[in-house]
Parts: sequence; structure tokens; C-alpha cells
Amino acid sequence: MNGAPRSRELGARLGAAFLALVGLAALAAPWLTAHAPTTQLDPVALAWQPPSAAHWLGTDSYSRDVWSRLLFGARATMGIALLAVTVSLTLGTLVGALAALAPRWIDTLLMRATDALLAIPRLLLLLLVVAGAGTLEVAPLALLLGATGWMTTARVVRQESSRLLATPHLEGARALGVPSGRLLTRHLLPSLLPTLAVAATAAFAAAVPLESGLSYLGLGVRTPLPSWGNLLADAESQPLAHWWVIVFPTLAIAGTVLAANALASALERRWRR
Amino acid sequence: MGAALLRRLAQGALVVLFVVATCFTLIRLAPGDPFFRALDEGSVPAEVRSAQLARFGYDRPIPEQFVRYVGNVVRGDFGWSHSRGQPVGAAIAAALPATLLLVGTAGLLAFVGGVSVGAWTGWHADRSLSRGLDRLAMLLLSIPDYLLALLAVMGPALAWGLFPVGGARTEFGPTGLLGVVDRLHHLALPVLALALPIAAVVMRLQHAAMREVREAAFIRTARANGVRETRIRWRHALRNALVPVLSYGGVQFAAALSGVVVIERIFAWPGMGRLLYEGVLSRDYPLIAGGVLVGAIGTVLGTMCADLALRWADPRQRGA
Amino acid sequence: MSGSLPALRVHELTVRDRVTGATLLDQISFEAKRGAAIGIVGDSGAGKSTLALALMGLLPSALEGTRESTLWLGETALHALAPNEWRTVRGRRLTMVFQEPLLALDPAMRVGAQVIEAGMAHGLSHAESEQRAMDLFARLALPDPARLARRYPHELSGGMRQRVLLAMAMLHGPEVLIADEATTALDPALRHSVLDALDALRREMGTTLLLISHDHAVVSARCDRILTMAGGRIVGDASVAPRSTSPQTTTSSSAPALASSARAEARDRGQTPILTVRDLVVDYTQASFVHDATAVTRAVDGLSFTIDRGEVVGLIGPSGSGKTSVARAILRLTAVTRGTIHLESTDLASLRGRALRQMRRRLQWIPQDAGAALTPHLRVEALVAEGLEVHGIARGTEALRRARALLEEVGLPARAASARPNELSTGERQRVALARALATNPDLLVCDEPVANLDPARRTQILDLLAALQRARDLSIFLISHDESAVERLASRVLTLYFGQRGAPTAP
Repeated sequence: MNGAPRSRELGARLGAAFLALVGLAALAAPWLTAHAPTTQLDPVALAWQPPSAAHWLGTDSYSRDVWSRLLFGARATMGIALLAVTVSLTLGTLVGALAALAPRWIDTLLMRATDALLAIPRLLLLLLVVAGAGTLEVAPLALLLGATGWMTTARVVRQESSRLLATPHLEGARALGVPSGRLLTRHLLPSLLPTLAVAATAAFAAAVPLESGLSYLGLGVRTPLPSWGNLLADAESQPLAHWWVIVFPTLAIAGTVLAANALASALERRWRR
Repeated sequence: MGAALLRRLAQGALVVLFVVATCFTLIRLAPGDPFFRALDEGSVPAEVRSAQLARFGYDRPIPEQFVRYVGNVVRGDFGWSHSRGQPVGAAIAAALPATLLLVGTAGLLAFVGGVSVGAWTGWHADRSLSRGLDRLAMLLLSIPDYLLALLAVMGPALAWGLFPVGGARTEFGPTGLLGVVDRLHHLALPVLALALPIAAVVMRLQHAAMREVREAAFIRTARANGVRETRIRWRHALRNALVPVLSYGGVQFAAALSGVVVIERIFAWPGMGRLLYEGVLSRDYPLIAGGVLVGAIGTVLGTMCADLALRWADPRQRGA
Repeated sequence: MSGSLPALRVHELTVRDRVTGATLLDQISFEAKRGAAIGIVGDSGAGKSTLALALMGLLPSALEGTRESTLWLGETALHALAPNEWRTVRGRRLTMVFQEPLLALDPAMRVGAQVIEAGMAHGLSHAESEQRAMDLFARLALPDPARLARRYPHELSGGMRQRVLLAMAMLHGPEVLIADEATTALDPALRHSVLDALDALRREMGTTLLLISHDHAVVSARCDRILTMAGGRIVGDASVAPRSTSPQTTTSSSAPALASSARAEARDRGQTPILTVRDLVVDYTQASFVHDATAVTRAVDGLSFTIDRGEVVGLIGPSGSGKTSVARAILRLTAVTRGTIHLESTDLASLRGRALRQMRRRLQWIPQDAGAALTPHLRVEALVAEGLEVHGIARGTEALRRARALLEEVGLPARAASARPNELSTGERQRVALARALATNPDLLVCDEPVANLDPARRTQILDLLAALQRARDLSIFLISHDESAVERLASRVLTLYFGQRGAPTAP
């Protein structure tokens, strides 16, 4: 009984540390790599080099340095996920808090619409737009991921807001006659922060594999621009012979998602008691 | 109960209509449609162009085109797939059974496996084995399905040749009983890759619900009445612990279906996901629209099944 | 089973927490004669429920009884039973009815099936169990037993559910029945009909009753011996002369009579009261995870009273009697089920949106736990200034200046203004809540247990402050408390609330 919380705490710390490390590595990528991620060093002689002192994680089919592509890929993957989370969190909080504060019929309308949107597989929505738009730049891709991901946040925020509205300090403010707008910004939102932190971490954990999945399919970030997802696609035809091209991005993606999930559940345990 | 069911149906119909409208918009507005690109070539005479537009009804006002499109869809006519050179309906009819087989098997395995493991670990939440299993589920949840698929391909399929890496069956392979075995052999890896993450979600939900129900007052009543432990566990605890799993499962159904596209692509499974993916690559808009529509209908039906199951498990949902 | 042995013998029962080692029950010893009715009373936390669970062998895994503890049911040594032997005793010879009848029934199973299950658990056939269940349902005055058996718990009322649980417990004619606060959730009238039915059944079957309750009145009316518990020990053992009439029926009067008396009071004074409450009814629906919102509890049942301008009216009553519900209904924080509430001539129930918000300026609240009612991340001066700002009385620095003046008026040091609520003591937070409520210069102040969380010295200070402010500002105050002395210090008139209904008004 006593050991479990402590090891969970440790998991959360490791998760946070891992995310911070990946973030720092992404920011410092130019200083940590010897080659640019798109440079084809020597397509004939240096293609498919296994890991060595010169190329820590080997090279890919175009003789590009995998270590460099992995670090610069982190920029695309993490950046897109962060932007997507910002968008989905903003939209979700707005819809959820509005539903909790607004009259019954607006609440019903908003939550029914949210449920309806939630009933469409997210990947299908994404495919529809990606197909319609042809190719997507990085920023629109992030916005799109955010715009299709706000529904779960909205539901969580709606539920938590309703609970908070019945707590003494929000009832106190309501009994004082504080209008809805002020109630939202001054009293409700700061109390929602723990919930939002959990939702953001969980949304991040969902956005990373979604982006890499799309990029892996060739529908997200396009080569030569690196992202963890499209790194994988490169060695798909012969995964065993060129294991280093698959293993390292896989570890990066799974590690990031695991870290974010561990952090999210630790935050949830701490703040939601 | 009837009214609630009707409301659920209406909501589902609304979702499908929304998807139909989005599909229609896509077909009409998306850039790069080969059909229009061909007509907009400078060499095409104006009268040929207008004749072609009139032939496909593109000269009518947009609302009329929409109504016509909806009418066609209702009759099962999704248009012509130029990349496959066959009607979209026929392409879907060929691909749908394979996907249903894949999703059905994976869904059943994930649900039964997740519920039984989760129920056990939740009831014995204090044992170290259940804590270990819970952590394993967390790990599984964090590995995206396509990575799991890639690992599955790399491991048993490629390294040791234990499983076929692609397709739904061996071409010109055995028939009869051996044919069934051959199909199951092909089915194993994609089903595993699709089912494991879903099973992990179900398991964690069931674990949490069972753990909470364990402390419920009605469990204590049953004990105070001298009801046998096995009956308490199966009849009282498990049935009530299914409620949150089913209500959340309904919501998560849509998310779970997303995995199909990637899995079918990796394992070259000749189903809807691959159809859709190839449609996107070749910008075959009628094909994409048809595929998405079938996906949306499937999701709505799946959600409704989850809803019905929920009503069975929780009598209080029936009155609403 | 020999007739000479007592039905239940408890000797040196001690229960400890495995982890913390805390003693929850300390050497409890008593005997219960066959057919006796023994009441066990005590405050919450006295160990009553732990005792019940220990007797049933249903202690949570974190608790354990010591080896010296012995329990005898007739000639059976309960303390020596193996788990599977326990099962054959529980529900047949020794049964229990729990609090919260809604939570105690499986929500996904028809009630008839649940009673039959209890019968079949001890070897009865399905038909026999069903026959007994139908008989007991009829004996317990449940209407249309055959149809009722096919319904789910959420479709029954609280009283019906409690009777279903009783039917389960009495199915095998047990030697001992433990009823743990079994009727607390029911309203007074229902409580008596359920207890009457139980009395008749147990006399016929010769069942010994252990009636656990925090309500002394209920226990003394039903039992011939009362054990008083405190801190895990038995601190009192007294016999009572059996009585059959219930004390409530004499004190609670009918709602219509009260309504007319409220009107008479107002007419006598020849002015419109600041607050007129008429026939107020507040129902709550109970919600929980396993059980959706279905259980309806009546918190306030036909209450009428008035408060005049400048008057302090007190409301007292035991905990759970619905006092806070009255306050919340007046403040429009809880929906009013029936009845009207007027602030002078304004019908509070009809107000919506902006009009409701503006009315709140005139009607302020000091809640039970004022500390929790202050938004934790805001500074004290901002919290007090907020009322001025949202009602357009003052803005910006002017609002903050007036807030500081108010904080001084309620006797807070200057440093408190820039502090956050959790940096202050409980008494100081109570003063902040008071300053916040006074900021809008309200007509009526509703104080819900304003001093319950304070030590006696602070309590006097705050009450004196409240009295001084009342005189200086000619405030009308509605003062709610379970503590009569606190109310009598301030109030010119005191109302007594007893389980949702008004008792006789008393003048201090």
C-alpha cells in the first residue's frame, strides 16, 4: 500500500524529466548535431550506415544522419503537438465552461453537438480535410489536429465546472451577485487549472501519435522535413535490415507518450484527490 | 425507452447527415480533382465541357446537387471511382467484409479480454500482480497502434517467419478447413495490433470500476445476507462495474476505429481502411466520401450497440 | 438453541486499525436477552457502526478484532467461525439493515430477485423464498407486492426501499437484527410506520433488536435498554420504561396552521416584513456514482415565517434538520420545490438573470465555512471589493479603499488586506466573510452557523461584532445555528426546525 504512491511519484518525475529532455534536445538541435537533417551526405557510399561513432544512430536510405533527423523531427512532432494542444484546450475550455455557466438549453445544445462530433472517428475527419486540402503545411496541420481534438476537453471541463460551481467559494461569489463573465475569469478558471493541466497532458499524449501516424502514412509532415512519423516510413520496406531507422523513432514516440500519460495520471491523482 | 431510443437514432442520423454534407462539400470544392482538371484543359471545347458537366449534373444549382447526392447515397450510389475504374459502391462492397472481420474479431477479443482481466485485477486490487498488470496496460496504452503493428511485423512475422506479413489469405491457397486456418493465420497479427491498445483501455476502466464497486453498500448487503462470494462477484459486482465501461466504451468506439486505417495499410489488409488510404493518395474524392460515410455509419451503429448494452446493464438508463 | 442463553453476548470486544494501531472499539462488553430491544446511541465517530460491522463479521480489511474479543450468538462462538461458516450465520440467524436504503440495494437487479436471493442463499427453494418475500412485503404494508417485486430500486421511494431491506433481513426469522441508522434518511411520519412494522414482526419472531441511532428520541421510544457510546467505549447503560407514542407527533404542528400564524404576525406589526417565507418545501435528489439522481429527500417541509426590518431572527435545530436548506433556498442557491419567498414585496423565486443578480446586493450570506467560501487565490481586499465592483457601487482604487475601511470596521489588522484567505486564521476569515457581505450594504444578512468552527472565545468576539454591526447599521439578520446559546445572544425571536418542520416558536 505504501510503496505504490511513491513509485507513481517516481514515474511522474521520470516522465516530466523525459519530456523536458526531449524538449531541450529539440530546441538545441542545431548545436547537438554535426549534419543538417536534410543533407544527403553521399547517397551512394553512406546510405544505410548502421550506428557508428560518426553517425550515432546511423544513416537512412538517402545517407541522411538519423540522429540529426530524430532531433529536428522532435521539433516538428513536439511543436505540432503543443500548438494542437493549445488550440484544443482553448476551444474545449470555452465550450465546456460556457455550457456549465449558460442556461440549460444552451448547455444541452453544446453538449449534444460535442457528443455528435465525438461520434465521428477523428482520423476520418482528418483524412477528409487532408484529402480536400491536398498537402498541409506544418501550422495548418497543427491547427487541424487542435480543431478535431477539443471535444474530450470540453466534456471534462463541463463536468468539472459543474462540480466547482457547487463548491463554497463559487457559491459565495454567486451569492454575492458576481456576473457570469467575471465568475468565469476570476473565480472558475483559476480553479480549473489542475483539470486543464491534466487535460493538456492527456491531449499531448494523444496528439503525438496522431501526428506521427499521419506523417508515417505520408499525409502529415512531408519529407524531406523530418518528423518522428515520417522517419519510420523510410525503412518500412526492410525493417529488419535497417532496424536503427525504425527502433529509435519508435522509442522516441512511445517514450514521449508514456511520459505524458504517466505525468497526466500523476497530476490527476494529486489534484483530483 | 422507445422515446430515448428514437432520440438516439435521430442524433445518429444527424451525425451521418453532417458527414454527408462534409463529403459533398469535399467533392464539389476540393482542388485537384482529376475530372475537373481534365475539363479545364485549354484544349477542351466549351460545348464538350458543358455537355460533360450536364451529364454529371454539375450544371445544376448547388442545393439541387446536394439533394441529388443525398438521394443517390440513400440508394447506395456513391458515384464513380476513377482510380479503380469501378463504382464506389462495388469497391466498398468488396472491402467491407474484410474490415468487419478484422474489427469484429479485434473488438470482441479486446472487450472480453479487457473486461475479464480488469475485473480480476480490480477485485484483487491489493495484489502486486494486479498492480503489475495495470502498469502493463498503461505501457500498452502509450504505444501507438501502428508502432505495435510495426513491432509485430518486425518480430514474429519477419524474423522467424511465423506469421504472414500481409493480405487476408494466401493467393491460390488451400480451401475448405485448411482455408479457414490460413485465414486465421493471416488474421492473427493485425487483430492483435488492433485489439491490444483497445483491450488496455477497457482493462483500466474495468479495473477502476470494479475497485470502486467492491466497496459499494449493496455488496455489503449481499454479504450480510449470506450470499455466496462467487455470486456476489459475478451477479452484483461485475454487472454494475460494466456500466462505466459500457458508457465510456460507446464514446471511445469512434477513436478505436481510427486504428483500422493504419493497421490495414501496414498489413496490406484488403479492407475499408486501405481503400480509404489509397483514395486519399490518388485524390479519388467519391471513393473517399463513400469510405468516410460508411465509417461514420459504422461508428453510429457501434455507439448505438454500446448504448443498448448499457441499457441492459443499468436499468436506470431505461427510464431516461 | 437453548432458551436460557442470551441471544447475543459480547465480551471485551476491541477493534484496532491494522496500520495506525488506533483503537476504534475499546473492550465493549454487553449481553442481549432474547427478544429484547437494545438501543445504541452516541455521536458520529463514537464507534456505533464499527460495532455493528464487528458483530456481523464484516469489518473492513484495515480493521481487526483482538484475540481476547469474544462474540456469542446463542451457543455459537462467532469469533471462532471460518469465513464459509460465517456465511451460513449471516443473513439467517444474524442480520443487519444498513443506512442509505438506496445504496444498500443492487441498482441493476429487481428488488424481488434480491429478496429471493437472500432466501436461496440459505437453502430455501425459489418458490419458498418468493412466497416468504410476498408475505413479508404484505406484512410491511408494501402495496401490490407481486408488482413491486418486479421493480428496480430506483423506481421505489426511500420508505419502500427500506422496507424491502427489512424484508430481506427478516426472511429467515433471525435471532438478532442490527439496524444501523436504518430510518435516519426517512421523514418522521414514514420513520414511525417502518419502525412499527418492524416491531410487530420482531415480536412475533422473537428477534432481538439492536437499534443504532444518533437520535435519542427514536431509540428511547422503541427500546427497553439504551447503551450510550463515546470514543469506542460504552459509557452508559440505562433501562427505559417502554413507551409507544412518538415524541415528534406532539411537537410538530401542521403546515397550514403555521402559515396563518405567519400572516398574523406580519399583520400585527403593521408593516411589510423584510422577509416573508410561506409554506416552503425543499426536496433534494440524491446523486452518486453507482446510483443516478433518483432518491428524493424532503429537507424542508412546509415552513413559514417572517423577519421584520432591523430584527434578528434565529433558527435552531439539530443537524440534518434542514436549516442550511432554508438558508440556501432564501439565497436562491437551491431550487424551491413549493412555497414562496418574498424580500419585502419582491418574489425571489420569480427572479432571473440580471434582476436576480441585482437582488443579491440586498441579500447577503455568511456561509457555514466562511474560509472555504473565499476564493483561495484572490487577495482579501479584492474579495471584499468585488461586491462593490459587481454592483457598481465603487470601482478600482476607490473600491479597494472602501474594502480596507470595511476590513478595519470588522476588526482586522491592516496586513490582512493584502493576504490571501489561507494565510489568515479561521476567526479572521470569518471576519473577512462578514466584511465581504457588508460591502454591498445589504438589507438582510443570512448567517448560517457563523461561529460553529470557532473556539468559545472567538465565538463570543464574532457574535459581539455581529451584534454591534447590527445595531450600527440597523441590519436584519437571519441567524442559523445548532447552538441555542449563540442564537439567544442576538435574536429577538427564535424558530425551531425539526426535520423539515417548525417546532413551537420560543421567546428568549
